[in-house]
Amino acid sequence: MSEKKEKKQSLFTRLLVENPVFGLYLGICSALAITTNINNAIGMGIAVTIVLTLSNILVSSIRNLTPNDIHIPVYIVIIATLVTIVGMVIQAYTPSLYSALGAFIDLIVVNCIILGRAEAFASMNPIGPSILDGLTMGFSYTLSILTMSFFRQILGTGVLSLSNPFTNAEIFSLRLIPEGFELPFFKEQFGAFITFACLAAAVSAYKTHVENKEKSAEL
Amino acid sequence: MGKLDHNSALYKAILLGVLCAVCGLLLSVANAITAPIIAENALATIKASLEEIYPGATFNDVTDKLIEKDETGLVDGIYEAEGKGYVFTLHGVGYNSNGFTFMVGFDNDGKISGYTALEQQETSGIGSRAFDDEYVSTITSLTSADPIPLLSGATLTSTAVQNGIDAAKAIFNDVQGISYDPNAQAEVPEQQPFGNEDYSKTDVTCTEVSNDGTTAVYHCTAKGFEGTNEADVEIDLSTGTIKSIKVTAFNDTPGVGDTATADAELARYAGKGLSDVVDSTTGASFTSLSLRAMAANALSAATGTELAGGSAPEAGSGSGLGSEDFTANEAGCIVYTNLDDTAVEYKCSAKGYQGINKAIVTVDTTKGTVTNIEITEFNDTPGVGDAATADTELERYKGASLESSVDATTSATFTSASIRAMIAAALNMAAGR
Repeated sequence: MSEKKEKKQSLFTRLLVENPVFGLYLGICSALAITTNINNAIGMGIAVTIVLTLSNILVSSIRNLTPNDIHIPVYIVIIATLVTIVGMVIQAYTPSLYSALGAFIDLIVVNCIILGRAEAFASMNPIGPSILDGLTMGFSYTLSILTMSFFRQILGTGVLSLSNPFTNAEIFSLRLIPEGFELPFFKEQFGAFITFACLAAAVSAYKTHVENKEKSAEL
Repeated sequence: MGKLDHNSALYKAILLGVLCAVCGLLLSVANAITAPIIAENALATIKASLEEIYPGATFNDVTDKLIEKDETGLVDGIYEAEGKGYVFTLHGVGYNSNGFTFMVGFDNDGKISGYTALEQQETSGIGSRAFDDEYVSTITSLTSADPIPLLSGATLTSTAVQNGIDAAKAIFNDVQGISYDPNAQAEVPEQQPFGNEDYSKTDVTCTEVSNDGTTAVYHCTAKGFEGTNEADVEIDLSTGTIKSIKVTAFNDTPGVGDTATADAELARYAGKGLSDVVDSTTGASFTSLSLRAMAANALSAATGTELAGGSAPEAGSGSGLGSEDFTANEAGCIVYTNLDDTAVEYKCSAKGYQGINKAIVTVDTTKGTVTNIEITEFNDTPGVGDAATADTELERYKGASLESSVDATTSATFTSASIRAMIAAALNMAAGR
């Protein structure tokens, strides 16, 4: 992965083509598991973005001190510490989100996006670009799982709703599919796989389209 | 830093050591900040339940401090209600393998202050009785030194409750320094001979299969928990006792009800007569009841002895309408017309064979006798049950009182039972019972 050499593409294209979930197939485990409603997706997305950005900062700042053969254990210790702290904060201040996300908060540790970005980007780049990379990747991860949960929540429950994780008060709730016509299997695991497959296919089609355009432009 | 080679083992060890120390420090700071808030949140979810036992009390979570005293692993949480007592949250597995959770509270002086289910999906009407008002009030009348009684027919659930409360008692009594006998058993009500038990809910029937003068074999059926069980009962006619009982069809819950049909359990019936006590099989009360019903009815049929508890609708005829058992007919009456001071018409209904039959029964209230009965709705088998509703049959009831016995109409036993049930209900109502 050589980000620096790549041509400047539009933000939209970068978000899609370099999308960690649908483009690179990273962090799928949590994307499949917690995307039952947009509340979970936003919470998970923010948690991952924070951990990703902080771990990028730390990994980048000690990149010159870390010998090559122990870099993985160093990164893991850093990421695990960050995840544990974020988990504690979530448990303390947003208990409803904590119970909804459950073990997947702790599993951020093994989310490939974080270790992947630490390894592929932060360990070779200065702090500034690493922060930017963490925020972009976190944002595009959040966007991906938000899209998945958007479809899954509407199709599975017929209602799109959002609530404040600090107070559990409902911010808005909108019924889009009449009661009795929703497709509950979208709440289940196979609904997650179907949603994921459809979105990944769409992203892949777009990617091919962009590549073809670039080729024809070169000719 | 430049002096130390980045690839030397010492450097790596120092780097990892420092990193871990820094991370450990960060974690302990984060934990110190969030731990009290997390504890408060955890208490908030249970607080609403705790308030049911001690409204308005200040609760402290003392689980971590006292849980090590728990030897059973059944205690989930221990909460101190300041100045009032302790509440224990517990879990157990009864009939539903998902288990259930419940809580029990003790006042500081040892009285059980509350007992309630937190989450339970025990069979409605059976295991769920362990959380009904009746059992709750039994428990809350006890102290931490008393043994907890089991609930007959809900043995699995109430055993789990008993084990849980015993675990809570042990911790509470240890904390409060209350001495008690941990092995005390709750008083079990004295068992009556199985010939006197009430088998009306089992719909038991027996038919003679063979009889050689010394030994008779009856094939019996009786409802257990979810299905009807069948058995062959061999009776020694000379002694009036059971020689053997063989289950021919078992339709209750496998793994639960079949503990009652194990060979060792069935062997307990051998040599027993109607006046002997046969204990119910723990954890399989319903199946066990169906077996005792079949054994008792076979003995009753073989020896010609009436069962005290009553059984099928046809049993017990000839002992007076007022003393017959018509519970299965679910008869009921309302006053229809007050004809004059001495005569009242009652509109009655009662279950017959397949439907509910209705009749208007006129009662002479001064004498307490039937003056007329008119069938207004007949819902049993035409050509069979209506033998009991013929005018000549109905004529036999005129002048009958609660004391007089009216024979059932042969071959229309169920319809006849419903008619006699309605008459008995009307007479009982007229007599003010």
